[in-house]
Amino acid sequence: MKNIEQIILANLLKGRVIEAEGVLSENLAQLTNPLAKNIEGIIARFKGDESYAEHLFRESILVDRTFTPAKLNLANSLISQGRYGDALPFAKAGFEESSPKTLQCVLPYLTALLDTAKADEALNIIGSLPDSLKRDRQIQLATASCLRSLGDYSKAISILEALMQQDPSDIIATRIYADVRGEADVRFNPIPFYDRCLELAKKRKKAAIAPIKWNMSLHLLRRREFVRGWEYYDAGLDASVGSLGRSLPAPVRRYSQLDLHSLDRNRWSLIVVEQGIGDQVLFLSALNDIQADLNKIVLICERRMFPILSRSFPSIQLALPGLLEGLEITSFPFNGIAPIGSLQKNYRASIADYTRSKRPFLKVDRKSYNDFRAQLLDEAKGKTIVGISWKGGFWENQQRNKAIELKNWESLFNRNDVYLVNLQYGDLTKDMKWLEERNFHLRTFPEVDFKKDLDTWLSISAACDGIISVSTALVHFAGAVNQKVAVVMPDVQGPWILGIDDTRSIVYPNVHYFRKGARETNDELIQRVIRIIR
Amino acid sequence: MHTNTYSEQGLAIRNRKLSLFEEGREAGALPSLLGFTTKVKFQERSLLETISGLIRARKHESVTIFLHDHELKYLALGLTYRFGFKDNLHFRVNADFQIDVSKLDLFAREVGLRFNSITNRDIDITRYKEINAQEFLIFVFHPESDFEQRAALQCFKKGNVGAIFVRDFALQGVKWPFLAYRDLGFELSETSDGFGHCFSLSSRLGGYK
Repeated sequence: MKNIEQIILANLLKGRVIEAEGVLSENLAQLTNPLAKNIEGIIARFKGDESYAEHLFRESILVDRTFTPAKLNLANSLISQGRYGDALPFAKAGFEESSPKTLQCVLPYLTALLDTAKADEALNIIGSLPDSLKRDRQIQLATASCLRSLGDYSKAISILEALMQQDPSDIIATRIYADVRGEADVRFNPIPFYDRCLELAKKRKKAAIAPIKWNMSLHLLRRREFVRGWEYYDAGLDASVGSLGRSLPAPVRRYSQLDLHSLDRNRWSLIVVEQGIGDQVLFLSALNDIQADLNKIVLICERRMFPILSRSFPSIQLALPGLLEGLEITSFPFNGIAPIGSLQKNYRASIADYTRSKRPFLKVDRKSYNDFRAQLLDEAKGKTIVGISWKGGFWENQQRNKAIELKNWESLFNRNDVYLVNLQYGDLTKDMKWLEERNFHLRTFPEVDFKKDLDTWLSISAACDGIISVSTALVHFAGAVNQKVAVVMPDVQGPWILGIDDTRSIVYPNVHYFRKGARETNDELIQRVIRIIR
Repeated sequence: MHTNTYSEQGLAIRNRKLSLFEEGREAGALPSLLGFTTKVKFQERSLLETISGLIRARKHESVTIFLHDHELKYLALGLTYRFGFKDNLHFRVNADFQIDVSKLDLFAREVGLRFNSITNRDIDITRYKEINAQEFLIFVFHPESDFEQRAALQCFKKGNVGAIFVRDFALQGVKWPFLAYRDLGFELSETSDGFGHCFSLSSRLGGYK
């Protein structure tokens, strides 16, 4: 049986798929069912039919739950489809059941762990591997990626420099090096390294260009090279980028894309919001410009955004993502579909474009705002009402880089001319305990779930005199209603929209950035910011 | 996978995958058509999906849907959105069946206008002899529509193929013309979703009813 499998694999590696299928069908009777399904799945992968391959690998596992090769193949197939979270349990089982540990069993597991923000687990796995494997180039790359995610930039850089020295044409090592250096050092320009990656990738047939362009786009945008930045931004939609890219509902890729040059203004065009709610608001800053061109827009968004968006954009039709699911069935004549991030290139190609359209674009619920404002004014008794938010971000490294622990805000809590209002979402149990122990007062609204009731969150935010916040969705919402916001940045780098050394937002009229100085502590940063409160 | 608990008057379902109610699934289009405060009940969603399935199965053949009930606005808009912008779907409604497009939201207004343009209000179902025998007919009735159900059965007798649906059939003790069904060899059976259905999927040349 092993022989048959090897003959089939040898044929596949030489690109002889038909011959491989022939060997399989001739020897089907000799193969056990899980093995046959597994080989059939491998052939399907070679033919590029990942969904059929997935089906076959799953069937193989169903027949024999102890059949490890099918689990590893299924994990690889799911990873190829960009479904890293789905791949993780199969990759884990495949790794744990394999003995001895080989590259084939460890790589899918590490890839899935890294993409699902579990870098510490991945590093533990690498630590448990035999030394011979640890020295492997791909494992070294995975180690560097783990260290980068965990913020240990210098170790990651030294591993990558060694790899680049061994092989200067290693695209992945060069790309990760550009990522890490760009992230660690604001003065470092990673663009030449990405350019080199693209140059090397052109010479190789199977090199994955999308991850290079996607990572590069964020640096280009940060450096305000908008034209190339937006062009490469679309690489974030490629499945090879995984969940670190621009996550969008599947039908967006299947349905015909909107062509701004040949659209019918009398037809509806579908625009899909994307990524986190902060990014959604950021991109909505161009919506009025987009509507001037497209005329009739159906904006696909989350239900929790409806109250704010229906008030702010009354002539735009809102719809739930479910509308996309039926697009291939409906006979309704749409122009096509576009993720809102992909339209930015047409409207935000320079700083001048941002400056020209720098104005508030979201509207608060007037009654709710008035009620909260009256309530807070009454409670504050003449003190300045300051809303605060101290943590945010989805990814591990974002959370680490963005957050400023509440203990660093002590100087603000000690000010007796300030009435502090909580605008932080999520679980605050530990934070509240810390405040209680110190007898610090923070006005909270426990009855409002800020993650769900965005409209009330926005009203409370607007009802403050100003806001001090780390870089999180709150900054976008409050900025878009013209609230005064001081963004505190504990790390040298923030999201691309904050630029390299910008001191005020290019999008929102009243949002200012406070970057931590080279020798400044988080306490000192907060102290510097609160001096602006009058 | 999303697991849900659904409840409405007289119905509670637990620990089932209810994709019909997921806003990220196809049924998530309904709120854009009906308004975001309108609740579309379990039976109604089921009926919409069943009728959609029938229309899809007819592919390019002409389908005419009879809506005889003011409660069926969701079907009018839902089916028009899905299939009504091709020329092979038509509606026939009672003269007093109205969709006031001025009350519809931006995008739904166009669907409503399209519904009005493919709707015939001149021919009542009781004048079944005027209906083209080649058309696939789908009737949706309210539970008290005794006379109309008889007329629909006459269409099947005449040779049309299609289906009859009666909303709330299983939910209340309705009087229905069972003798008329029986005499013509049909049966109106209740579904667990709450509506009654009767299919005539072969022509008068014979075959399964």
